[in-house]
Amino acid sequence: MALSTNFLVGIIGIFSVSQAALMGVGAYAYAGVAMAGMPFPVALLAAVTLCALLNTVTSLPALRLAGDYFVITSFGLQFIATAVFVNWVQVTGGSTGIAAIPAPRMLGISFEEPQYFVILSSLALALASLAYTLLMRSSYGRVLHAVRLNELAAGAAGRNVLKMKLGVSAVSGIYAGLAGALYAIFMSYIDPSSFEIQQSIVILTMLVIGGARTLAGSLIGPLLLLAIPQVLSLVHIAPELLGPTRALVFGALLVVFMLWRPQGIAGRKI
Amino acid sequence: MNPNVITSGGTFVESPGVRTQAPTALLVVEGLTKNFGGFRVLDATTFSLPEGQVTCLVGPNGAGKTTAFDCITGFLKSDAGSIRLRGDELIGLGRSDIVRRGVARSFQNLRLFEEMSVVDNVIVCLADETGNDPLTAVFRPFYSAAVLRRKREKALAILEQVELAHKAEDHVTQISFGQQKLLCIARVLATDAKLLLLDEPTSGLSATALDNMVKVIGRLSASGKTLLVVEHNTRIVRDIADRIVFMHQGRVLAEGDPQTVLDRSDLVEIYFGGGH
Amino acid sequence: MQLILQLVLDGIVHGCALGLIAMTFSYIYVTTGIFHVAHAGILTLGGYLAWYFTGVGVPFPVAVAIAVAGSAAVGVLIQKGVYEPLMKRRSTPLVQLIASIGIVAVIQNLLAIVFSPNVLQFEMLPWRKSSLHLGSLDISYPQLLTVIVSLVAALGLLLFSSRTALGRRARAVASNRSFAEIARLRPYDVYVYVVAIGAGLVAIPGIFLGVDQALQPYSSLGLLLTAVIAMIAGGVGSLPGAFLVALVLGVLQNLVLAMVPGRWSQALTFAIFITFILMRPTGLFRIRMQRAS
Repeated sequence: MALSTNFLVGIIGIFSVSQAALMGVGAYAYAGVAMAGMPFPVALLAAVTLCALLNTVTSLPALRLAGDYFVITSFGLQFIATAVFVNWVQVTGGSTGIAAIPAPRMLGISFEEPQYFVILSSLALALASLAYTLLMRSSYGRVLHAVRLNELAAGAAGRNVLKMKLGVSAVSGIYAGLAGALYAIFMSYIDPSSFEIQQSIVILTMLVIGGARTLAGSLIGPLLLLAIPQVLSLVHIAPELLGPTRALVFGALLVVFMLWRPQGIAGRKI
Repeated sequence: MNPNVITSGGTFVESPGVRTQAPTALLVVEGLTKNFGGFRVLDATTFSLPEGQVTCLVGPNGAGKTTAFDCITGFLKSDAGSIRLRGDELIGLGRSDIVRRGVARSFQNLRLFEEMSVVDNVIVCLADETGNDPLTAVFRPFYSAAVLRRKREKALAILEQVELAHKAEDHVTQISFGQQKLLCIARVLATDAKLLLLDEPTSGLSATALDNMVKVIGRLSASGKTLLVVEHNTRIVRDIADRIVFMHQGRVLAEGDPQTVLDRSDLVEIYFGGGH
Repeated sequence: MQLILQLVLDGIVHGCALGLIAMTFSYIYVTTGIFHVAHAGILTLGGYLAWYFTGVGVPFPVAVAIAVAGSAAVGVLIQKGVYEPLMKRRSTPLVQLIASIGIVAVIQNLLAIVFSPNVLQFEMLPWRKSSLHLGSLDISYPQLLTVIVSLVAALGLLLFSSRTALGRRARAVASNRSFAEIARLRPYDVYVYVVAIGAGLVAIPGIFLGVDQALQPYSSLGLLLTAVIAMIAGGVGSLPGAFLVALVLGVLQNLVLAMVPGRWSQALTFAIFITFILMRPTGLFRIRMQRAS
């Protein structure tokens, strides 16, 4: 998931705070299609395609607008998405969510068992990382980087900046869709609260701590953040305050990192 | 229209007609007008660029030279006029389309891709678009790597032309200012454009770097490129220019061969008198 | 008809509160160039401070004063502790924005931990339930107070910005930051004042919305977003424009309530907005968007 945001924020220089919403769309799409009895690959494909399309369409305003406007649109999209998840009861189950999402079944193996799920998700992560590396190393990746560094110069070089940015949105959407689908499989239960703006902030924190614009960064960030709940469990905190405490720590980390190390642990300048 | 005789602002400019057979015009700019909030930066600017020649665009600061560049290359929308490349209208086309048609530019303030190596700066600008899409990059990794190798070769060859090949792996921030300016030329060359618009390629260069740049520009011209160069130093203008377009307050006051234009005392007065 | 009028009235109340949020955000944004998302945090903080002090027996007006002062103090802290170092280091707007998002998360969650993540009511104020009858329409005392106090505060901010020496200095700094530094307008001092004033004033809608409805740690981001939309639609840099559009948005959001269920109304505003800025990125009053540089 952090990979997906990394794409948007780092490579092309646009910043989105609606990544959790997009991931939610992926999760709901996967759940919807899988519950309809479709096989795993079809559901996955549906989630990924929908996210890619949606992200491309919704990033259109950003491409026409200055940076700050984009931030607002992306906040707005996050709120709209949450409203849709909560209110479109026929599809999303409203605030109760969708339960008992079937686990994929392939080659006679059910991935319901945790150990198989670990295999599945590691495989997905490995493939996603490989694809990311390939992308960044290719001449396409170089052009993306150039667009981010200097849009005017990239235009003067004959590169179609708009097309490049749309491409990145699509790719980033694919990653978000993948993450959403995996989330739906792993939890087997989804509800709107998992994809709220707070979740978007968590994703942003992962990215910022690990470091923007590098693969290493987007892998380190989530790993470190996973450790935080473990540390918190050592302190005595009432269970209903666990969520806020975690979010508090994330927020504080954001501020601290921006102040002292905006490039994160393994990232580059943002 | 005869490119050697231009009417502009009511004054007739006679070209001495050194060349008996005038080469065909590659680019014709006619009546180009651009306003910035009520201020007319380009005022019916009209000139043409003969194929294969080096034309220097001269004039005092604020004459509208860079604005003319911006309009020709699609970085600014002009308010009126036409810009035709071999008869095809360029106005209305996007920046990248104009480059693909064969008109590329450099920037006064370089606009290099910092954080990238010298050779990558050139690779990104290559006209060759193969491999510039995500699907190829991910699903045909070996082909994609081969494309990149091929592009590298090409980029290195271009760097060779501007004598920068030995710095190919360096970061753009590590090379000297003169080398950065040469890299700008290499990037423009990478686009395969026929017409190169160079915005002050020699400004701020040391004496040796300057000589080197003049040499490179001469070589570009010899290889058949058409050049439009913004240049302030009249000595260099005499060195490199086949023709001169003299601009002042958004208008073309004179167009013709360097000797004639630079010897006109009224123009010299405008150029060096600077607003008196 | 009766219902519609009541909704318009509620909308005006809501719009006044929104208007003050929009104006103060705009004021800070235009002067400092920071996309001050943390404004939402201060909005929430103001309400909780007033709730706490009223709860321990302080008279309500005094509690309001304390809340305003406390919010202003937190504003100063944010400017001095976070924004100023970032600005001096010339960090990108993105870095400043992320820091600001971090601050919101800290404030909101701190409030959730200290007080409660659940909804709180100003139960100690008996008058919050009583209301004034204007013909067939009802306006509760908290609503009335919201309108009056918001209007007074908005007017005060306008007068401050145009009539006082400090206000003019702030506008000079806003129009040209690098010049301000040379002209020894001491922009960093000005930023502190501006953020403090903005923070103090934004506590007001925070308090009165809380009295009228309820306090919630996490609801303020949506409010701020609507306010920011108003700022843009009204033309960035125009304080009255921001207030007026916020008023209109408030009424619209309430009217929409009559047609669609609650949570759609905000979503609808955003959807309209996104379409709007696509069509007309310069705002209704055609003032160019100025970006911090």
